[in-house]
Amino acid sequence: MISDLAYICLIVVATAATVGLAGFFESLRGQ
Amino acid sequence: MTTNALFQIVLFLAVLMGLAWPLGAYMARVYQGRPCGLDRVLGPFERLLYRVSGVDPGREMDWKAYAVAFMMFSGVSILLLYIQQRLQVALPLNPDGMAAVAPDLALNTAVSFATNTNWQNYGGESTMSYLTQMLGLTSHNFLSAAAGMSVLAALIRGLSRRESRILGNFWTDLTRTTLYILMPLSVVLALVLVWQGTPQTFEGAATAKIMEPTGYDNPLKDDSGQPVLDQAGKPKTEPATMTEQTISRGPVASQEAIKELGTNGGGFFNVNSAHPFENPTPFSNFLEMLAILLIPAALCVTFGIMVLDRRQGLSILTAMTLLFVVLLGACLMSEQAGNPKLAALGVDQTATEGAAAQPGGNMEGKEARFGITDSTLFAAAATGTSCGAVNSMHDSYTPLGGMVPMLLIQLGEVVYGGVGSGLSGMLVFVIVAVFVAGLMVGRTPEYLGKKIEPYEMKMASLIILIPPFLSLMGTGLAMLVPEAKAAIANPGAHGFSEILYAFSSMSNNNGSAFAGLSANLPLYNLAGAACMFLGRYWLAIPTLAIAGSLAAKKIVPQGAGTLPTHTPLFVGLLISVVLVVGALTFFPALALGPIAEHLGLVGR
Repeated sequence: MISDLAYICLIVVATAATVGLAGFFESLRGQ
Repeated sequence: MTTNALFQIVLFLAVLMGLAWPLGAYMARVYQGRPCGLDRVLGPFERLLYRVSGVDPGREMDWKAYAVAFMMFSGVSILLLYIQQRLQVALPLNPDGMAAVAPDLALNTAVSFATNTNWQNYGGESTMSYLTQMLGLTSHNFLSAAAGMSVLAALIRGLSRRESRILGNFWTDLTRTTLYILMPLSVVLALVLVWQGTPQTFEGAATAKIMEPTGYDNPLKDDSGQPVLDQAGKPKTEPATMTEQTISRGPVASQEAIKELGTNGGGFFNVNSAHPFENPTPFSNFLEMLAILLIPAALCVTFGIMVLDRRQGLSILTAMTLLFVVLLGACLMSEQAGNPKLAALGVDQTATEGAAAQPGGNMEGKEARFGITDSTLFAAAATGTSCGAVNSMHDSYTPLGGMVPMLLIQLGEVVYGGVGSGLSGMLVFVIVAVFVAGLMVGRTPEYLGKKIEPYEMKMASLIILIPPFLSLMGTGLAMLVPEAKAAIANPGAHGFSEILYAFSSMSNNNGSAFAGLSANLPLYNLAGAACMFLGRYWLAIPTLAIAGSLAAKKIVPQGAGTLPTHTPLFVGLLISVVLVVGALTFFPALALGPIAEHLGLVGR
C-alpha cells in the first residue's frame, strides 16, 4: 500500500515536472 | 548471401514501398482534415466522441497547449494502467486467476506501454489477466502510438505553416489517428492473423495430454511457497512425471496486430513472435514485418505531401532505406557466416539450396521455420523502428550480428523509426545536417524556407543527447551494483552487452530484449521506468518546442545559396550525421561488448 502511494506520487510528480519543462523551454526562446 | 535471401529482401522492400505510397497519401488526408473515405462511416462516431469529451475540434493549440495536453494524457494513462495491474485480481476476465502485479513491475509496465516502449519484465501468459492484456495493454498500444503520431503531425505543421502560433488540436489528432489509421489497419491484420491460426478467444488456458509422459525433478516448496533447501543450500526436488501440458491462449490476434502496426512490440506471450500462436506461418511472419515498417515508411510520404514537396519525404525515405539495407546486410551476412570456432573444428556451415536445403550459418536462437533471413529481417525491422517484437533471440546471434540490432536502437530509432517518433527524430537529424552544412558554407542554415537558429539547435541537441545519456548512465549504474550485475546470464563481454542492450532499448523506447538478463528486479524496474519516461517525454516536449518555433517563422525564398534538401548529396550528408552522432556516441561501449566478444571469437 505504501509503495503504491509512493509510485502514484512519483507518476504525478514526474508528469508535472515534464509539463513544467514546456514552460522552461518557452522561456529560452529569444535568448 | 543466398539467392533466396536476396529474393525475400527485395520482395519485402518492394511490397513495403508499394504500400507506403497510398497509405502515406491517405494519412495526409487524415491529418489535413480532408475527406478520407472512412469518415463517411466513422465520422458520426468521431463527432460523438468530441461531444462527450467536450473537445472543440476546430480549436487549434499553440505548442505549449499541445504539449500540456499530450503530457496530461500520458500521465493519466500511466496512472490508470498502474492501478489496473494492481487491482486485476479483483477485476473480471481473469479466468486463470492472475494475482496482482508487484508494485515495481506494475510501474515499469505502465510506463513501458504508455511510452510505446513495451519493454516486458514479465511473461504475459503467466502474469496478466485478459482484461489487463486488452483494456490495459492493447488499448495503450493504440493510444501511445497515436500520441506519437500526433506529435509528428504537429511538427510537420510547424514546418509547413508560416507566421502561425498554432499546430493543430492534440485531441483531434489523437482521435483521428486511432479511428482512421490504426483501428482499420489493425482489424484487417487481426482477421488475417486469425485466418493464419492465431487464437482470439476469452477461454482460459487449454490442457492437452502429451504423447509421451516425461520425467522431471519437481522442486519442493514449504507451506509459504518458498523452495525447500538441503544442507548444501540447494533446492530439494522429488521425481515427478508430466502427463499433461497447459497451453496458454487468449485474445492474441487483436493484440498482435496493433503490436506490430503501432511499433509497440509487447507480445501476448513471453517469447513474443517466436511463439507459434503469435506468428503461426511464414506468411504471418511476412505480414508482421511489413506491419512494423509500413506506417513509419508511409509517414515519409505523408510528410512530403503536407509540406507540399514530395521530394523532401522521398529523400528522407531514401536515407532510411539505405541505412536499413546496409545494416540488415551486415547482420544477415554475419549470421550466415556462422561461428568461426565451429568452422575451425571443420563444421560445414554453408547454406545449401534445392532439395537438400539447409540454412547453414548460426541457427542458434532462431526458429527453424523462419531461418536466418526472416529472423534477421525481423530483427532489423523491429529494432530500427522502436518495435520491441522479436521472432528470434538476439542474445544468441553472433557478436557482430547481435551488435546490429543494438546499433539500430542506438542510432535513435530513426531508421524508419517508431510510428511518429521515428520521423520526428529523423527530422531533428535533418535540422542538424542543415546546420552543419550551413556552417560549412557560411550561410544561415534553413530547411523548407525556415531559418534554423540557436533555439532550434538547443532543442535538437537535447533530443539527440538525452537517449545516449540515459543508455550509458543506466548501463554504468547497473555495472556498479552487484545485484544488477548478478542478473546477467553470461559473464564477460556478452554479459555487458546484455545490460547495454537493455538500457539502450528502454531509453530509446524500443522494448526488445537481448535476452539473458533477469531484469525483473526493483532496480531494473525503477531505473528502466525512469529511462523510458525521460526517453519519450523529454524528447517529445523539445520536439514540440521546435515545431512551435518553426511555425512562427516566415518562409524565406530560395536563393542561390540555399542547400537543396532533396538531392542525393543531402541524403549522403544526412546518413553521415546519423552515423557520426549515433554510432560514435556508443562506439566505446560497443567496443567493450560485442566488438570485444567478436575479437575473442576470431582470435587464437
